[in-house]
Amino acid sequence: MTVRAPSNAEVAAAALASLTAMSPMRLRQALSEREPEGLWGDIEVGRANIRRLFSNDKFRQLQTEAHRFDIEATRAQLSACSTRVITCISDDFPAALREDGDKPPVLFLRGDLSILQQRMVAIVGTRRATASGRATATELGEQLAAAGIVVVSGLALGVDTAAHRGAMRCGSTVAVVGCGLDRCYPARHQAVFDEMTEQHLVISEWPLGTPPAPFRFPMRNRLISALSEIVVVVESGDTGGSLITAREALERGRAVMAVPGSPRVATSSGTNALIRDGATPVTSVDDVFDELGLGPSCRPAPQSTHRVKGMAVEIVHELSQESLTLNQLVERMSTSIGEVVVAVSELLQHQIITESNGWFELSRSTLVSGKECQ
Amino acid sequence: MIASVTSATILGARGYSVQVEVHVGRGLPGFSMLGLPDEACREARDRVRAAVLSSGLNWPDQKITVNLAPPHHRKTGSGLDLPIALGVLLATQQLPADGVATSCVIGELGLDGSIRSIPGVAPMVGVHPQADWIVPADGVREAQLVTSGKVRSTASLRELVDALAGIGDWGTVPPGIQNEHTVDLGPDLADVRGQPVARFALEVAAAGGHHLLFIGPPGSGKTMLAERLPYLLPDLPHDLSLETTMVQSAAGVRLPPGGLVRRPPFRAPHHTSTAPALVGGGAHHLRPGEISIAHGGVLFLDEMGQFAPAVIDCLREALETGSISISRAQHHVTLPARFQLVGATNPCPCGEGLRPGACRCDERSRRRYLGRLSGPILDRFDLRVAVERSQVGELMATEPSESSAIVAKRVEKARRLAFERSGGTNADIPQSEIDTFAPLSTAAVRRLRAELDAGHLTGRGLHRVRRTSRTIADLEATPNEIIDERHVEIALSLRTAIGVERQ
Repeated sequence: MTVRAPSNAEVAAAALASLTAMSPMRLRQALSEREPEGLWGDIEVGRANIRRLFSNDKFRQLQTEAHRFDIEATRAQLSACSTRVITCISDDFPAALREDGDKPPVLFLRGDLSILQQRMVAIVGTRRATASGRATATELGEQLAAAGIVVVSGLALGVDTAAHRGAMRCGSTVAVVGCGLDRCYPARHQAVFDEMTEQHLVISEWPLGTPPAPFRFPMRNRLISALSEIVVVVESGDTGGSLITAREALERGRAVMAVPGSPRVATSSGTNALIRDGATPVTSVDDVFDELGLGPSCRPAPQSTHRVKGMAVEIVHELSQESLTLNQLVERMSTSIGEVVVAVSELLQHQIITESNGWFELSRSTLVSGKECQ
Repeated sequence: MIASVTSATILGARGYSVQVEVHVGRGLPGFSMLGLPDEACREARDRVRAAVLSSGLNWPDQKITVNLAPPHHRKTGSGLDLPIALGVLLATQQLPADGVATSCVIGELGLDGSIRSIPGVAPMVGVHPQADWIVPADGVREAQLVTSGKVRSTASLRELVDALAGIGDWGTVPPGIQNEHTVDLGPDLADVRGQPVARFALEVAAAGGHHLLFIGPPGSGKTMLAERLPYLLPDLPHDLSLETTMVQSAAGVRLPPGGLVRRPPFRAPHHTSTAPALVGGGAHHLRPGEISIAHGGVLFLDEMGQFAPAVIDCLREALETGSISISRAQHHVTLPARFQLVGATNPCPCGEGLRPGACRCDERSRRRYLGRLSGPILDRFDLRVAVERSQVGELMATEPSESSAIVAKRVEKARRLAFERSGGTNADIPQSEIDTFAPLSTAAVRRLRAELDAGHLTGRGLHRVRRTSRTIADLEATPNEIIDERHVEIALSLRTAIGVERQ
């Protein structure tokens, strides 16, 4: 993304959002009548349009705060983090949020704004996800993104990041975070965060410099559900942020879907309860496509055009039955390690198979093409 | 009435010469010992007195002063019992002065006057390698390894006094099995069914001296495989053999009958081991730890994820330099510690394994589990192999797998090649000379560059893969001087990225 100086309107909007005396509700109302730059001036001179929204004390407090506010520092910060600022009346404001009663007055964004114009589905779930939960999230993310659906999530540990990772491989994704866009929370996901701010989109309703705090995450969840057409909960315990997202989604009339799990697994109790209460179960990505009203033609086409031959054919055949280790492959091929390794490496390079923790699996696109062949 | 006997004590894995001076003179009857004796050493007083009396000799009713020179360093252990007893006997003229003058003496005494074995005979004898020595019977073999003088022993103090006086015989040392090669009958690789990749990794580790990590669920045979590694290694070269003998003797490890440790040791400390137990230390004599006892051989850390992280980190210096320096307020010793590290760990607390979807652990506990051995230590394993439980068919297979003897032959051949090329094992090829000793074919360079570009390999990892590739090339029936793409490919596949999300 090219470095671009923030416009005066953006700086003013960011400054307005940073004032602690200014509540989101008042700011929303004020912005519906006047553009940010003018509004900033109005505060200093105390014009009636803004003054009447406040009590005398509160307005004095607002004025003092605005007077002391270092607007140039805000400009420099926005520029340094290449952050865009849009208000709820701007044309770029996502259509899904426009009618929302609780829409944020100002949004901060880093990344590719055009992503906001596409159809979105949220994939959320617990931070303490199991390996299989994360694998499910990644798979759903990949398949939705490959079909041109933007995957929305919260960049948290566990399910969220797994979904982002999957989507980044095949398409676009949006992260809604609960702190300022100048920092990555959790810090462990810096690499994902960096990639997302460069090629995808990260959104926050909080000004730069805002630290993460517990109360911000439910608000972040509200934005996730408001942006998306469908909220898919992959794994969740009895309580948790993803259930808040689901509830917010229901209040907004968005569809809620959940991935069913065994009743013996703690991380599935929340999703199973959602299904009991009427959420649509997700047994494969096709269920989500159906909910979106997408036909089979939208489904991703096989990507690899590489022709496999020789031992590679046998390896692909074995892996189509189950995932295997190198050890098992060598045994089944009953040949030297060298030959198997060379064949496996070729398949890996052409992304026909994938490796994780020493286990080989057919990659997603190969599986899809396998299904279609039948 | 003063007498002086030359003896030795031990600090770390080295002996130090000690002069035991005994003065018996007028004064209130009593016994005092100078020269920083430690607790065990101070107790010599009562042992020596009882032993002298039980041997039918006289204990002087006079003031006895024992000085252990040099006085500034701490004397440890019970090996000074015998020299003190001889000193008292000399000072009271119960022994002819010329009997002991030319000999150095070590040994512990029992209350009945018997002479008992002590640890560390070899390093102690090594401080006077030309002198004659009197040592406990068990230590004769190892003493003979390090001194060119006469080594003599008797079973008890009484016999020793008689022998020194020329009226008794010296104890006979059993005829020399010293040069006989003892055949090592250990667990055989033929017992391991299936697991071709893990077996191959073991062979590569043996041939190149590479550190090896097995990752897999319980029951997948990690321990079984690791225990078989020492039997694939050739005998120790003579100088290394001597070093290992010294350390093991100092640590009180039971030595083989010939006295010399010829086979690479295998040490498997439990995961509750403390840092001093692993790297060496302790109050006064700084006993060698497991990593030094494993010098020249294999250190196997089972359940590596269960070791305290601080303990694991202690290994770093030794892995880097092949020795470990232990410093205490009063002493500083450097112990040899050139060992091959073999680790085994579960991939996560539930132990279900790495099979996609099998693990029931949440992300945080997995991360914490593997995080304990992540980073610098994980990076030092040239070979990281994921092992899984064998399938039923393999377990019930009747045809035996390749035996250790056959694999050991290949290993020896590859090690000889490496030694002729670089003077050491392939794992020890210095970074500056890696281009000379491990040249790559164009295809191999291209393959490695692709891995680097994809971010799958770090700079350090690159050199490790090149060293492993060297060994893999050396192991082939017709060894190739230039490393080919195929060798690099195999080396890469034996370096599974665990716990790292390669996405």
